[in-house]
Amino acid sequence: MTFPILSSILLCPVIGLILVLFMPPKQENAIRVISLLSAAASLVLSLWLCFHFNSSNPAFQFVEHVEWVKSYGINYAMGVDGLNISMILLTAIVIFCGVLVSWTVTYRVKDFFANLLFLVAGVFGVFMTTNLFFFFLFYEIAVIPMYLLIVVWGSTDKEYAAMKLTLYLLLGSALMFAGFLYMYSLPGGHTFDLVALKQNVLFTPEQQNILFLGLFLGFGVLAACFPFHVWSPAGHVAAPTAASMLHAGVLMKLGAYGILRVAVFLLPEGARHWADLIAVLALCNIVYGAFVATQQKDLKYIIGYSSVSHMGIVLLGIATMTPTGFNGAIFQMFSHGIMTALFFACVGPIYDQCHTRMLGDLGGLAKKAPIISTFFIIAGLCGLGLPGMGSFVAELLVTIAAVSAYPLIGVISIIALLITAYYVLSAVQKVFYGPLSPAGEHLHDIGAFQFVPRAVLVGCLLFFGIFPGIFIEWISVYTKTLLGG
Amino acid sequence: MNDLNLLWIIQLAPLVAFLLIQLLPKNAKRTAPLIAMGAALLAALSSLALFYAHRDGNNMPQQYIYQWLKVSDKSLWPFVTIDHYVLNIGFLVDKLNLLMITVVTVIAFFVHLFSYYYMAEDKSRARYFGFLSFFAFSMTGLVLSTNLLQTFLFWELVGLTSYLLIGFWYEKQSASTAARKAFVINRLADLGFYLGIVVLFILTGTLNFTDLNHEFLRQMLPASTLTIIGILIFMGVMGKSAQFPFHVWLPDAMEGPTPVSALIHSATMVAAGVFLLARAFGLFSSSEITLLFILIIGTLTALVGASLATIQRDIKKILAYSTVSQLGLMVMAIGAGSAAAGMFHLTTHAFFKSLLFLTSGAFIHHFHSNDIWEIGQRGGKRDKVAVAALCLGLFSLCGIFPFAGFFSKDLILEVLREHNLFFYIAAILVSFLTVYYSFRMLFVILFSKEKKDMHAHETALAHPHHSSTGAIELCRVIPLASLAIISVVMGFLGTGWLDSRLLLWLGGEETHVNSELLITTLILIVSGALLAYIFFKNPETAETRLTQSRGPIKTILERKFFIDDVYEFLTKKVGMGIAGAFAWFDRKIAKELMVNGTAYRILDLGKISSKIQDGLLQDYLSWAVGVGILVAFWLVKSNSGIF
Repeated sequence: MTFPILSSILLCPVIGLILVLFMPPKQENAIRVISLLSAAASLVLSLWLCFHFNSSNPAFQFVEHVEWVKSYGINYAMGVDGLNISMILLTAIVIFCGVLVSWTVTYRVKDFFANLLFLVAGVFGVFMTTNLFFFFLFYEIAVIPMYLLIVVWGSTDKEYAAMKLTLYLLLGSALMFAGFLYMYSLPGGHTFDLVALKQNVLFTPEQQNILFLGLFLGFGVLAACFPFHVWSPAGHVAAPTAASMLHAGVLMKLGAYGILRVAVFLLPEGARHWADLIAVLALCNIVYGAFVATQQKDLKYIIGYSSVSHMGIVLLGIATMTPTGFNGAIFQMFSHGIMTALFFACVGPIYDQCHTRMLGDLGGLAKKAPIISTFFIIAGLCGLGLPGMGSFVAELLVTIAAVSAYPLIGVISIIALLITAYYVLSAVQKVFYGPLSPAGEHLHDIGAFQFVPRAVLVGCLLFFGIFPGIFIEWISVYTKTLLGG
Repeated sequence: MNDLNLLWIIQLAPLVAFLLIQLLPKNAKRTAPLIAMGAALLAALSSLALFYAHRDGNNMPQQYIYQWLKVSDKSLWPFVTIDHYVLNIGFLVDKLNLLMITVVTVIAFFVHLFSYYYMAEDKSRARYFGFLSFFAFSMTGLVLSTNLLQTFLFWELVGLTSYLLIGFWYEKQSASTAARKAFVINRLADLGFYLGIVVLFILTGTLNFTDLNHEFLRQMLPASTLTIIGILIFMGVMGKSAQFPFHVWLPDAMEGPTPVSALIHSATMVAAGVFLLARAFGLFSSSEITLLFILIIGTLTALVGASLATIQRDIKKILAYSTVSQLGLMVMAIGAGSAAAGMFHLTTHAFFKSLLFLTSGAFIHHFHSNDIWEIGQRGGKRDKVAVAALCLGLFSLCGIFPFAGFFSKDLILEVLREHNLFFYIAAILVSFLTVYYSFRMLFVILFSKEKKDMHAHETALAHPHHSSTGAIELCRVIPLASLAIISVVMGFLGTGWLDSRLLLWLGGEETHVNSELLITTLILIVSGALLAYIFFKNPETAETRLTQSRGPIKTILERKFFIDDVYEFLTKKVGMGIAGAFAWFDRKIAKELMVNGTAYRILDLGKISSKIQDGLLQDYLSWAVGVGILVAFWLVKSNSGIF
């Protein structure tokens, strides 16, 4: 057996968590450093993984398999392919930056970082495992710390938002677990192993259709699919900065990831059957989310609804059921994750120091904090699909696939480009341009240390926007084989 | 040095300058202008060298292509071949690109130089020059592009720099609003461009300019599809080149610093649309209907722009509307089927219009006013260099012999006369209005009586820095003088005296003197100038007369044909109406009814069922007995039980 690189990436935050738990709460800086080191270690290992990933191999690589409850097909199984390598990298980048951005947290530091690391361990697990039981287990691990992070360190209606988010996510997981159990019960099943299910179970068309619908609804809730999206903007708003970054950056991707990893992979015929419905819902996400974003007064709500709109692009890419659409969807998952993390990393210091996120109370911040403003504007430009940023390539691929597969929906979805430009630039104008507002008097620009995480995020956006070929090469073998091509 | 190296220098020098300026430490920011100017000079010299190396026009087009992204997808295009469905970036070198890149880099260099004078006292100079360098980089990429997607990439990037520079003084509400308006309206137009590219790519698998010719397109696609794609892509042109009804952003864009208006909003970026028309002429001309559409839009634009220019008081607004109308003329020429005439006018216009804008910048900087009456009253005519440059630029704009505009505009008129009489008459009308507003501006500045007691004027004189140090003064005079000289010479390059070099280079035909046309334009110029003289020989009385006059035409012109009102209606009423309805749905239905509703119903359910647990033993017992009886009944009924 080779070096268990995947488990090592997963263990980094776990070890960090254990160390943090044994630290005395007074040692705040030590706790921060430990968290940073564990996040950095998982980032380094993820990068190593990316460099050693063989993009021409369609099968799972770096496979780890430990039997656990053999008789029920519950095994600790890890593997990486074109789909999750990008998600692992995304998670590693976002948590690394999230820990750095959270340096300014001063309330119950130990508990905060412990929760953060716990959350990330769960997310890593979901992305890595190839066993549905562990998929469910890790997923549940990720939800609980998110609840605590919002309730304890959040703002603006935090109890309500946290409860709503948790109930929604559990609803999703209940649906998906029911689906898993149903598949387990089918002839030839009796296992939770993804590959074994694919090989052994012959789904009838009816089973494909009903199972896919159930799984899609379960995962769709996480992906903020219309009309199950309401938890997501509220959760974005209430969560503390780092949790927002992880929530919008990574947690929402779990849903879309699950659709591709489990639902489309196991039930391609079911996916084709429901593709029209997904396309319509995705269009609602895209256009509806963008329109609602124009009406928001709270900066974080704007970003929240923009996420709803952008996740629609992911769903639309999936609905096309073509490799190009899948490529675009996965690329969008990645670049949207980085982009929203950057958005929240910019709103964080503004809210901390101005104590408001309302557009009406803010203004002229570019004068006071040019660096934050620049970063926010870069994130905004990525959001409105400026070429040179990751989102542009992702949206281009999805549009090409969508206009081919669903001409009408594809054409209407382009309108979002206009609406997005409108609300992003309006927000930029109201918050950063014009005369300085009283609320902004006490704003200080970020220093060199806080510059780093945001610069890393911008670097990722630009790198993959300018050299999309690298990313597409990782994922295209996977997307080509997904539908048995 | 070989071509590829030169191309890389032209492309990357401004980008390197931009990055260097961003990395400069705070105390070294004053070197930013020098870095930017150095890069601009390097790029200009390199493109001149490239032009010189290819002066004979042989061995072209040359392409240097790098694969950017492969989209070949068997499920979308079952018969996909290897070299189709690939998105490339690279450099294309042919006559059109060489001319355009030279025009762009040369004007960019002079504008950099002039900016050193204009922005000498601005605290954010480093930011300004950084943006300017980034613009030069994006514009270069746009011009040297090999395919429509690459054009679109840089098309959006020049749009971004335009946004950033219009809103350069972002504390001003009007500036940031104008910037947003420019970006959003361009985005609206670019939706069509984007969709056109996507559809063309899906249907043909290529976006390369070298592939987009009649034979290929007509073989691949039916005529109606070609028309739709052509009009969709033309929408992008309408946005960037400020064609009716998307022209409204350009006059507002004058909120930016004046050298920016000279470079981006008159000479280069707004001309990019016309350039694209010439670049992908094979695509547009493969459908007659598309060409007719282009011609009609160009005509409307030219008329609207010229008529609105006649009532403006702001010197930059006059020039902006003038740019709109001149762009309309270029688009008309291309719509009439002559890409060479359009590009020739683009070239001459780029030089004389940037000259005019820089001149207006000199006035504004010196007299602290954009208003032509105020400039006149504060002694505008005493600035000899600026007045000379203004006259030269305006004569060229009016098409007075022997200035550059004469040759290029007459060529367009001739093309239109041969094409269609109706559009010819429209162009004549535009020319007449052009002469009128040009001379109006000139006469108001020249004939206004100076008001010695004006406070602003005194302060202008009190601060010696305006007519200050030699280096800065040189940065003012050199660009004006150079552009003036170039815009005179440039015209002759299109005439028989110099073998029609520029025209033949562009693939046009040799011109011949057409006496009928000469007489027509002469009449136009004399009558237009005369009319302006009659109205504005005494600017003070003209001003009072103008403020008092009322009439429907004046209202229409002052409200700019109500186009801004239409946009406002579309955003405030239609757009925000839909958004409001969706937001209401989100609050009331999605959140209240569905989410909270479900939660409350579950709570209610819990309340009802909790009533069962009232703690009374007899209640529990009766529940148990009741349920027991029901179960027993059901078991008996179903006839398959334990009994």
